[in-house]
Amino acid sequence: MSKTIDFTPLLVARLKARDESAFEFLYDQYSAALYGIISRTVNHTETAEETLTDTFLKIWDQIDKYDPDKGTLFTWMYRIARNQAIDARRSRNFKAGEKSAELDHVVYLQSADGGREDFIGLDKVLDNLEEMCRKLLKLNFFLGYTHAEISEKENMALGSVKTKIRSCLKNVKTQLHADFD
Amino acid sequence: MTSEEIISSGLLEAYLTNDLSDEQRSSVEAHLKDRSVRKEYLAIQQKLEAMAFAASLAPDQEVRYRVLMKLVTKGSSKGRMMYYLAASISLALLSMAAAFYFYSKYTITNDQLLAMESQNREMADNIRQVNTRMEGMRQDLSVLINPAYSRVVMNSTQSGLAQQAVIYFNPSEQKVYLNSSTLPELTEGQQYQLWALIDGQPVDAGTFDVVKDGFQQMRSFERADAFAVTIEPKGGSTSPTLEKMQVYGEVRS
Repeated sequence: MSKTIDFTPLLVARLKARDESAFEFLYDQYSAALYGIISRTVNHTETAEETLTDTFLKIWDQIDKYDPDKGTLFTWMYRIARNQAIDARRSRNFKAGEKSAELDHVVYLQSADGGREDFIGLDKVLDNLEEMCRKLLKLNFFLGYTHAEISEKENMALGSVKTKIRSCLKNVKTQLHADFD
Repeated sequence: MTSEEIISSGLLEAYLTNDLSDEQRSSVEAHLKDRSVRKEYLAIQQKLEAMAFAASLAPDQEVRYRVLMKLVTKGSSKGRMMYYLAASISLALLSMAAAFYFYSKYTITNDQLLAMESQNREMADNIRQVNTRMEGMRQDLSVLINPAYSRVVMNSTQSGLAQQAVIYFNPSEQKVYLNSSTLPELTEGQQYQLWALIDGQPVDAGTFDVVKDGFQQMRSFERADAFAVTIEPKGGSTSPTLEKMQVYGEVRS
């Protein structure tokens, strides 16, 4: 799967040249993937839509800061989306007042179990993984929880969280994985 | 830390989510120059991308519109500059064409305006002349219809000549008007002279040339018994040349 490798440098060059049609293409290409992360992290439609908007405007404003030596374009955008979404969730919780910690915990439990979250597409990709792995990957990559937060809530040592996530991710079978083995 | 340790400890996964201390981060970034670490990190990133696409949720179409609108209103992009440049060039060309069109229109219109102004002046002159004539006629008419004026018809005193002149005399306002329109024109060096006869004595009432289309005002008196017109050398005489008397009329009392 060479899609990402091939067109990304060209797309980045056009974005750096402030080409709006390239930005439109970028949005159409990546908005659903980023919104999947944002909406699950924020867990509130209106806030998620605002956060997606802020994320893309930040991508447009800071494209010059993107350094391909430090990662792929998607990773760079993913980090922006994740940070924006975590900030949005924190400020929503802050507004909710003293109940914030409690609310946060409820959200954590609900989303981690995947009960009301629609992860059908992702579950198909992760169907060969054990339950704990699915939970950790969702919490870390899609729900915006840090290793420290997961360590506290799952009662695991911080180092174990890191290595566990690593071994879980290693078992994710994708077409991409095959290309790089 | 060796590259192998970086990979096995799960630091690359944590680096991806920015979940490292500053020290750990710089250590990872230093090892990213290592080919094996780069390859591993790329694989991790591509797995994340694959998972993210598998977990895609399409945002409302309204959000796309909002994002693109905000981008446009932020402005100052190169594409926008090019658009404005193209727009301003075509605007400039259009302005030049319009300027040329309006200049030729202006030239034609200006010529027309000058012609009309000259016509206007001509008409104003005509009106002024007509007004002057009308004013004269109005005055003449006011004399004619005013009952205070007595009309003195002076008939020819030269046998065989059917000439006449008429005096309108208003003693109370001391005004004398003369209608000389039927007197014949004189030769160069001659002029008519009007005389009033007061108690048998001729008194000079002014010289005049024939006027065809109106009255002329003459010198006046409180009273007069008769009026007469003689032909005199140009400029008039102090006493009338009686054999040159042309017309004569008595004032009816």
